[in-house]
Amino acid sequence: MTATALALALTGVSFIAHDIPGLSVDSVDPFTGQNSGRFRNADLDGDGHPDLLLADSAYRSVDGWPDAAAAIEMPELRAACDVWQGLLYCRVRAGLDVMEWGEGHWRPVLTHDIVWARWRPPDDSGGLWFERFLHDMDADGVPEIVIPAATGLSVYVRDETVYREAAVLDVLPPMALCTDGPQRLWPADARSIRFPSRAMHCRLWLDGRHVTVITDEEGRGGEVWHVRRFAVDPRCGFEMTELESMQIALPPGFEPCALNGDGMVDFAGGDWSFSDRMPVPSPVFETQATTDGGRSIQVRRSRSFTPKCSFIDFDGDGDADMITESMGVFDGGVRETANRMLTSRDVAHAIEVRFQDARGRFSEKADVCVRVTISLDKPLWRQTDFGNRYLAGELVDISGDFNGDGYRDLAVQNSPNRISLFEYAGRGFPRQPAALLAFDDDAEVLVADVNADGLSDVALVPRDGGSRAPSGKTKVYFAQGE
Amino acid sequence: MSALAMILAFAVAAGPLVVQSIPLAGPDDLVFLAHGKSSHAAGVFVLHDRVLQGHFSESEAGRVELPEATTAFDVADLDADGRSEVIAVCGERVLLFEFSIYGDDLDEGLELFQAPSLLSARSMSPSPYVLATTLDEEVAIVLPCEGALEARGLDGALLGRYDVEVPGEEGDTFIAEVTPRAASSLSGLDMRICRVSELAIPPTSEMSPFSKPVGSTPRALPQEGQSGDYVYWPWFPLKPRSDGGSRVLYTVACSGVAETCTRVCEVVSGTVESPEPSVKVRALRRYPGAILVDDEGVADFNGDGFADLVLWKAPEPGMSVDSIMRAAAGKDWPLHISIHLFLPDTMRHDPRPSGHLTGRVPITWLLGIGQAAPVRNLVIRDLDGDGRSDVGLSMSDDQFSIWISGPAGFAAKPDLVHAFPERIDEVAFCADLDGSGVQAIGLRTARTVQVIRAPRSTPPVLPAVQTP
Repeated sequence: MTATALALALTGVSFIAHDIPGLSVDSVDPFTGQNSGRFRNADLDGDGHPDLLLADSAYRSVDGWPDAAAAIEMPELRAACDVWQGLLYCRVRAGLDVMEWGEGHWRPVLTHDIVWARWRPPDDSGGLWFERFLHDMDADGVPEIVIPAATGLSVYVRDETVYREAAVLDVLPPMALCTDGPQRLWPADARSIRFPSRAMHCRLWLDGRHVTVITDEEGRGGEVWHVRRFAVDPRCGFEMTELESMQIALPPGFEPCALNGDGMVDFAGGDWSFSDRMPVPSPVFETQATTDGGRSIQVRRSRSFTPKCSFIDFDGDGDADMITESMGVFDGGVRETANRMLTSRDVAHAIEVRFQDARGRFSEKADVCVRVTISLDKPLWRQTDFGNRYLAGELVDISGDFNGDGYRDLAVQNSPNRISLFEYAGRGFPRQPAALLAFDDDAEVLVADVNADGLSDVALVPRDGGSRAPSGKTKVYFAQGE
Repeated sequence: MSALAMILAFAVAAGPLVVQSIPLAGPDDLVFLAHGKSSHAAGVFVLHDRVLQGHFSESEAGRVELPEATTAFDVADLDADGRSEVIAVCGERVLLFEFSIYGDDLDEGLELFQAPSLLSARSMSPSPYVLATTLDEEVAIVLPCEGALEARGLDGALLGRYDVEVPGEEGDTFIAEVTPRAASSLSGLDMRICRVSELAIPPTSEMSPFSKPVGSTPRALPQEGQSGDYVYWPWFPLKPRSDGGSRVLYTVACSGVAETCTRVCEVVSGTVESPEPSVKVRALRRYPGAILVDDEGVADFNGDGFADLVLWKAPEPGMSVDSIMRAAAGKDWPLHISIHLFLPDTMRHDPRPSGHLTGRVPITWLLGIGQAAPVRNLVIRDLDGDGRSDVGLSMSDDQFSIWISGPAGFAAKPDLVHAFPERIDEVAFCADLDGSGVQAIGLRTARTVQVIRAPRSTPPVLPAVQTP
């Protein structure tokens, strides 16, 4: 790893660049803005700074930055791995290894055999891989291990020095026959006796002792969502009590999510339609949400663009706010549109934020609006890789908080080798960026808090011939704050 | 007005094109084909909610009202009287219905037997499902049960039970993606769980009536392309009417101008020295235009038994603001379809097109949103029974054109054009409805299914041998 450069800081925020070979950063979740990534943070050495854990090595933190000189090998195990307060929990095929780092090597804290309800390594992993299976249901500070399996949600609790299976929560919905569509009855040689396939899909949310199970089925003109919520009592053999059960009928395109802290399951999504009010029939993206159990659906329309992330807690008040984006290509008439598509490399792009109020309503008009210009390498009709990435929503990211003020900031890759970062300043974004990050080669820009210091960082994954290059070359610009 | 009267009222002869209109009650109506007047003639069936209407000819129709809890039904000739009956699974009851002619009382159904099955618990609207078959020359109703298929006679007697195979290590596909819960405590978890169980029917000799493979062979093969990347190569059979196994792989390359690349994979019979047949892969060939494929049709325009190539292309507007403006103002745009016959001597498609179909399509179709090609409602079938494939397609929302292939190829203009009062949504079916060898096309609009038939050419032409 090389701490190569201090990025240009125009106002307050500055960044320091480090190569983090092997770091893989995912795109943000479109309903939360959360980047779960394929890395973990844990304070392995107890120095108060979270260290960065990758599948094959861990970068210990020195002065707040992951340091290659202090890199350590991860245990050589074929195991699903999760972390809890500096401890590494490794589920090997037939056992559990809990380890801690100390005195220059991994030391076993707990090792014993156990039969897991499910253990299946990913196809592309020969060693450790990260999974989420630790969850403190009884709030005693010692995590339980929860594993979804065909039989239910298996819960393993720690008894003295071993984990044992304490319960299998029967929360998964039953398998249902697949709606494979009508079978062919004609001609005779097309008739075939089939055994119908069966399937089960669900979302399962674990919050402390509460389990929420969300399933859906096709309904007339949309989907019917079934929500069941249970309370689990770890002191009474993980006995379950059903707290509520409800059905919500919605049009297609919605996904369950939590847009505020009222405890209800919310639903949000987006869909395309065509506007016939404009001179050129231009596509319109409709961002949709319901925060009252489907009684009312809020729709906000924007022109021709699907954002990377449609809902994010922009102002840090605990409620998700709505993000819409639009591009100015279709502004004006046919001639103006054709002219922009064919000749202009600069694309006007607008990002709007609508705050969610205490009643779960999103503002009719944008509370925050920022306009930026993105300089493509060629006009849009050329359909270059960079232009296509713009249309796919990859060049604009409003999920990061680079200065730690609780408000989201804006990262725009406004040319193939430059990122502009705009800090939110009270009522809007200033015209001038707070920082510019320049780099030599085309790269994919991803925002995540890589070193878990509370400030979002910028990860650059080089692109090679129109696709993402191996993560071995990932460079991270760590935010240093004001 | 009864449905039959509606049919009679709408049945018109539009020039040489015979058009029959079958009314639909709603947009969710299901249209399908099943056994009609005989084992060679299909009927057109329309399911609206629980009312099943069967249209057996221009003048014959009947209906059945399925019970409320019906989950699956089949249409077959169970009593060998030539007419179709309906078998319905309604909870644990298996019922038999005869079609009632309009004006007659509806058949209330005869309960054949009761048997629990996976279909009993299905909470769905009724759906066509193959239930009837023959087992040792006896009519049997096959029901999927827990871990097995059960074949029962019409009296409910168990004729056979066939356990299903559990494939793979755990039998199921189980996927659980776990992420942290964003809107909860730090340790909250969000799990997306998917479990799919697909059980296979074991191939046993006793199960021969049911042993037809489930689904069809995937019509795509991964092949290594020139760049070293894996390219998706769909295929169609080289000799559609025989089962030789030879096929034509194709892919569309788009580097400025669309062109179709093909490779002929020929199955070569074994020799005395090596009796096993081998596959000979011919050189890659390039043809201007993008391929058009009717998945269930045969493109054999000269009746030689080999599949021919159908390509479309449209002239590109000049990339200037003025040319774009002219194209936008014109509202439609030329579309050019070319036919390339297969040359068995050289085992390739002729690089020179042997026929052309031209017309103009709405320019919005060329924008291609949600559509792979600006050709709508494409049908490549033998529509007049002469052994040569013909082409039917729409060049506008409410119109359908048919080009009949003759010994000299295609005419400059479509042989038959019919304009409908509504937009054509899709091709609902294309099948020989009366056993005459003439394929009828069912075009679905919002309120009707328009069944159109080209007149039969006489006499049928036997497949000809291709001459260079």
